[in-house]
Amino acid sequence: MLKTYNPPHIRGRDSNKTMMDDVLIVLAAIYLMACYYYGARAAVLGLFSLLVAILCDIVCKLLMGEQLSLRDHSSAVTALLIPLLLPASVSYTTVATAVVFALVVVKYPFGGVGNNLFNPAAGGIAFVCICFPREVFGYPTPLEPIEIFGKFEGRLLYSAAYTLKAGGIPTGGDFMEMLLGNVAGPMGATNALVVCACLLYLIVRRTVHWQAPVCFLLTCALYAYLFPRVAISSWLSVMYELFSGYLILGAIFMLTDPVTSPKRAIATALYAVFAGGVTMLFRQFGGFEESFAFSLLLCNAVAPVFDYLEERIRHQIRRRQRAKI
Amino acid sequence: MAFLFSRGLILEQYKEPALSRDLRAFTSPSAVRSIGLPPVEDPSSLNADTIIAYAAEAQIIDERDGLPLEEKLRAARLRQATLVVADAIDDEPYVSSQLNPLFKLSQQAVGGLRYAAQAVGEPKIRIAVYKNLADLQLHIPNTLYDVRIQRITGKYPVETRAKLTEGPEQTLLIGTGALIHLYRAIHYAVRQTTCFVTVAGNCIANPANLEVQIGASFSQVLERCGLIEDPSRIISGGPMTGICITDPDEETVGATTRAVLAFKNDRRDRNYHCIGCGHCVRVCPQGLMPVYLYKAAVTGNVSVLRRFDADLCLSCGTCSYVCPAKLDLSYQIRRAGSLIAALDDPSGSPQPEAANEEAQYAQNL
Repeated sequence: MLKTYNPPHIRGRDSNKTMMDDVLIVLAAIYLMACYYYGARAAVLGLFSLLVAILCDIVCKLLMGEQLSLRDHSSAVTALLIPLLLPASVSYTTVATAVVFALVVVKYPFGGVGNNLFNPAAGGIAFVCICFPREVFGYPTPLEPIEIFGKFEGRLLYSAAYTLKAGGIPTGGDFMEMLLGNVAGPMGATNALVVCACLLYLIVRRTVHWQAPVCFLLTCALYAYLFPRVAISSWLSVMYELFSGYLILGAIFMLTDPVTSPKRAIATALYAVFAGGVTMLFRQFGGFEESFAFSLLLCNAVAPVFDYLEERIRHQIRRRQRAKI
Repeated sequence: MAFLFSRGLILEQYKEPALSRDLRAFTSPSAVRSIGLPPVEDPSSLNADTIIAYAAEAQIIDERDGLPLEEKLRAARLRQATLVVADAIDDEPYVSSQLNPLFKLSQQAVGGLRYAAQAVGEPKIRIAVYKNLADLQLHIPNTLYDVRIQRITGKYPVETRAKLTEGPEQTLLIGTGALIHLYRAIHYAVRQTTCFVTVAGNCIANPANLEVQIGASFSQVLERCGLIEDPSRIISGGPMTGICITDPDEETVGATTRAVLAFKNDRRDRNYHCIGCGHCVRVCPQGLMPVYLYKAAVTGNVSVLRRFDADLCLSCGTCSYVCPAKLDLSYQIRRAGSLIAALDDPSGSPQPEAANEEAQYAQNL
């Protein structure tokens, strides 16, 4: 039976599913590191979050009258990302709150996949930051396994980000430890080396464009170098600013979210520089020790403007070229 | 370096085995039509006007752009072209209907190129082939009968934007098929009644290049090369830009048909939502933004289509190829682009709602 199709008749192999799966693969690597530092609770938190996301997905899609499909993995990415941005000691209800808020409030009311204005993970995290700040910003000691279920009873530590926020000078500034993640912090964000390896994979697979995370982190580093928040050397300031909190993880997984970032290369780079500046200003003058989620939500709102501005300039250039001919 | 920075696609070429196989004739002797001019015995006696007269008399159509060869030669002569290039670029996968005749009928092709150059006024001549052919079994030499073969680098689509010269030269590109027909018109005094067609695809038993009678039906052409199984789509033209044929018994091969492809894909068409990944923006050879153009085309937003220059689309299919959501970008944008062009056409009266859009657009400015 012959049917008509519109050209082209050959298509590339990549699909939305393979792009999302790429992210899921690297998130799995980060979960392995989190399990190494905090025991099986990290993995169980991730699976629990995934389960909540699947339930939210089903309910929202049924309400919207959309077909359920196993091929849409975007909610899974959001769900697996959220626990990584929280401490391993976080309670299950907090994770569930973040995921439900991310999907039911930030993602689906705007039309679901591809139509959300704000990054769902950032929205969910921002929500629990406001609701449960004590729980979200208290971190367990790494390499001390936490019991899988139940409330965490052990001692909570402050991260370097808190010390910086309070105006103190962080201690334990061992560069290697910070690179490997053997410091108190969100359960997936401290092991900077693994996270950067993930970035490399995503860039090679062209799932993310390099401009966004690279320009963003360079801007943050430059800002930290020029304007240290406390009386420490410039290089120490760069190290603490980048490796405390979830700046690197957020730059790779949240800032590069395709839906909420500009499409053109130069616009993406400018957007990343803008986001870097806003993030550092939020850190300096904001109320929370880690305010990347808030600054990202603000930047998401202006992301299309960068595209439209670049397109406007290009439109003028094209008009001149046409006038020449 | 230019290759690294050019936008476009690197496609698997799949030109073999059709490319290195012999060119097969699929014509009937009775179809040969002679023209009202005598065959030329002594080619050195020809002058520019006679060559153009032969091209006109033989009714040669350039398979590259569908224009009559006579018109192209006259126009090039008027603007004093300084370079005539035989186009054997064939940048689409599977298609080798210019490259194969170039090597199988090289004497005629180069002869035709020399006549074309003579008609234009003795400029430089060259042959252009696509460089990024990895799976070739055929050796491409550097010169063919003392004519330099230039290798065109670049990502798909290269045919419309190939950089042939360094300086600002007036170039004339003529398809290899048209040049062969020009040679035949001059030497044998025959009219163009055939065209060169690649028959390929995963349903074809013997992929090959055929010289097909113009007017043969697609099913005849497919039968000539044998079908392994029933195809789900038959394409007239290359896989990136060709159009689907639904009635192969009725539809016929024309002078600009460069390939007949038969495919069977079991893959179901999966439609996803656009996730705004921006892949299409980064490959568009024209530097447009297919993602926004598509949304505007689907919703019929004329002002956005204008501002984002929908009419510059080449409909090369690059954006649809890379789209991970498998959207019909290229087709919809082209459709909207031609709509815009129709609105801009001063002879046609714009639709009332379009006029409103026009006024809004003016206000926005």
